[in-house]
Amino acid sequence: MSQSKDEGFDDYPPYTTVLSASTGSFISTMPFSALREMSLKQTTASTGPDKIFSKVAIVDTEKKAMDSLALLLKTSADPHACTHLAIMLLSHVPADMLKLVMQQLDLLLRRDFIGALPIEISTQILEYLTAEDIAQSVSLVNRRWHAIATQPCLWRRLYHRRGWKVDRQRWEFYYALPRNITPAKMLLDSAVFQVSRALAITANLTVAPSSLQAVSMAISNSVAAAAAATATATEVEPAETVGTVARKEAKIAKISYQQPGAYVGSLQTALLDTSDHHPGQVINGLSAATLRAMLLDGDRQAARKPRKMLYSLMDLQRQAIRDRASSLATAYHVESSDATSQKSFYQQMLQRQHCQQTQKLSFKTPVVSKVNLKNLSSFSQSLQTSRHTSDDKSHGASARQLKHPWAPKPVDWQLLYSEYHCLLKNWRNGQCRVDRWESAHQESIYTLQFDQKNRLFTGSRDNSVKVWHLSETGSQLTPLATLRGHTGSVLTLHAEDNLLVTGSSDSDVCVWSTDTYTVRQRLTHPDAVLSLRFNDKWLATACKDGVVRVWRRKQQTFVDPFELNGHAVAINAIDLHEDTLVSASGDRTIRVWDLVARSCTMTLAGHARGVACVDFDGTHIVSGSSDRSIRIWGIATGQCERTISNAHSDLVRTVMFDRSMDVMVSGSYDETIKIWRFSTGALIHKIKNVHTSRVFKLMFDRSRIVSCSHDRSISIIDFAAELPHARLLL
Amino acid sequence: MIKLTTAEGAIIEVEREVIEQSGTIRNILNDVRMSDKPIPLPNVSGPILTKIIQYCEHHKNDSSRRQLKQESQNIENDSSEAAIQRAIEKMDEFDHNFCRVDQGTLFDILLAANFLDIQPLLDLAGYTVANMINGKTVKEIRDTFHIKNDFSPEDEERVIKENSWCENE
Repeated sequence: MSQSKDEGFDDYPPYTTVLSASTGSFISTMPFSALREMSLKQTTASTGPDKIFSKVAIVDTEKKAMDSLALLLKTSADPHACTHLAIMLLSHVPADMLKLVMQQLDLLLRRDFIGALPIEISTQILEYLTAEDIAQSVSLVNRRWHAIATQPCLWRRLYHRRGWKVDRQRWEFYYALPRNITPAKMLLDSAVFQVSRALAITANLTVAPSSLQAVSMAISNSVAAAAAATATATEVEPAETVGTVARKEAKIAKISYQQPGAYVGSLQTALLDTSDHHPGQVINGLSAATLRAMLLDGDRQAARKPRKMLYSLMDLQRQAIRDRASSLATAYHVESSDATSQKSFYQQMLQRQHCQQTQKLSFKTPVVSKVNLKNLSSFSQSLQTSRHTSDDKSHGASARQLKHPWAPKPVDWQLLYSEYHCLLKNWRNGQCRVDRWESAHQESIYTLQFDQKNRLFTGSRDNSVKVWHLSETGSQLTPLATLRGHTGSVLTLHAEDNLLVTGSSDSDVCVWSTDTYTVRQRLTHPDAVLSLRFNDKWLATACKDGVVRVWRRKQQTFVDPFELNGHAVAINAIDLHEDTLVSASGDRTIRVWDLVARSCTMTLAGHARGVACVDFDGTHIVSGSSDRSIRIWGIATGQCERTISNAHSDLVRTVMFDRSMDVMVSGSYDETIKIWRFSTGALIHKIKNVHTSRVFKLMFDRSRIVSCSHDRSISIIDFAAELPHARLLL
Repeated sequence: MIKLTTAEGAIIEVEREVIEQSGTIRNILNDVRMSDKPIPLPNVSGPILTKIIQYCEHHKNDSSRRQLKQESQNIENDSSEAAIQRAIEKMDEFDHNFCRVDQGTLFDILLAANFLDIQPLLDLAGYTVANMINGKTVKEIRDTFHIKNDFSPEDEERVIKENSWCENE
């Protein structure tokens, strides 16, 4: 109530002045009519009656009385007595005012569900709402609500609820990792971080829980064994020993990961146990073992790296540790006045190493008391020295922040959600940026395709195939290579993995390696090849002679060709999905083939003129024809499910659809590209002026349409021009 | 029969089969075997516990419930619109009436359902609260739950700007 006092004063200065100046009770100073008037005013302003109460300036004696009453109510153990007291008090309130009290009571019964409940419940509640509600209402209620409405876990679930997936590899590659970092540095930083963190946690543990003792003992034994083995391995280093040790260490590290306190404690014990035998080696071996164990367990990155790298890294670390140990020893011998036994020397040394690091981490004094050393002053002095002699500056910095030096930045789910939301909105509204690359080839461009690696392949009437790099953000085209292998127009191509297959009017099909850009195989045909597709099992080509030819794929080569006969005239387009092939022909029909049975399973008739293009996703077929219509067919029924008559004002030359985006895009000889809603067949957007001549081929992904034309240009229609993260969506 | 001690110290008896819909109690019972000692529930008041037992009584024969919970946990990672829809469809007439209570009671039910780990009840109560928020303007939400706006005008402007991506087309 006191919080809203200020507002009350601002709203009603005349009353409050009177009240605060008065010495008597507020009831005597203020007539009921005035209060009632206030209440009416308040209600019409729909602010609720609490302000009236808050506004009333209460004199000391009343405040004391009220406080004691409140205390009485609060401390009373019997709720019935409380209720009785409250009702008794209420019975003295004038009847007119009871209504106000009731309103106040109503407010007292309200709850701030989102702000006051534990966060896991409030985010669960918000999950039932739409992203729009959360962004536009919930996050604006107050600061607390805003904080909850921006929780990453909430947005992650909202994101997945839409069925969206994110390309984590690309997220890590583009947005999460610092640039210019070598794998070795990565491993080193990581190892240092892991050790630092374990030590930092130990430093904060004042008393180890007794239940950890057993675990600690077990770990201590295995660490001792591992350390001894490693110590030996430093001399001989047979691959098997190291391998076994590494595996053991990984296991230990796993346990120790959960019980860092116990782990470091056990390290000390292990050291004491073995230091009598090989003092020097143990320190080196043990530290190296620890680092390696952490490496193996902590970083899947490390696991992927070649073993050799790991070994050389371990050598480096061993060297560093040896250096540090000797410098420590020197420091100790210089400063220590009395002679100490070998055993306690090493014990102190290890502890000092720990302290040196924990000191850097937290700068908390309890560490020293925990060390339990007799000679505290000389210890702290040597600590100082050793801190100065520390050679690893980056280590100190990263440890202090306790932030993994290259920890992947967590995915910002709200950012991704908002950008993808905007991307979809841009598709719906036709909000896009068009970039045109004039004269990309010397003649008209018949075909194109881009792949996951952002490579764009174009085939032209100038007999060449060009490879371009399509920039990740923005729409930059950089030429990579020009492939010459055909003596006629390149009419069709398909690239996947590291294979590129091109078909030409010179009746040849060339299989290229995209690593070397050389022809691996040449398949001859009796006439021009108009369309081709391949997958991991088949290669199919559509020939002007009306025959589909199919090869079986054997890794990088295509073997055992057979023919599929049925179409009366030239086949303009084919598409392939697993073992099902769809072919569209100038004979006005579409045929569906089973490649295993080598037979035609369906003939789809409906187009009034020749079919020019086809797209097939396994369940639906979309076809475009010279009758200017687009038809959608269901493969299960074999029926035409939708016809968009007069989709274009000329032949529909190219079409592609994506049901998950509910989008279909078509390009035509009428020089336009049209975007359709797949589910309804409604036109979303017509893009004019992208090409000045016939559109021959287009392809789109979630963020852009790339098309080519008789006008020799390539155009990129980008819907994610200002949404760099939208491209991370899978 | 299982004995439960409420926050006030009263002891309430309930069939084991009924109260086992609570994951928390189920775990306690599995851990300590059968015992006559009452299970203390210091976070749950008598009236709320009575209400929750009512709910569990009504749903004690829904054998599919536990299974459903398992299912929903399995698909939690890619929980789709459909999964939420399914959870909502499972709610019956009794459930909707059950949640026609004042905000204070609903609040306590949510807390208790969370503490006792009764997921369907948590879903139900959470869904009820979400419905109270759904479609309301910011001001209406503040009025409904009696919440004070503590944004400075600059803050408010920043948050509006931050969420402008979501504006209606």
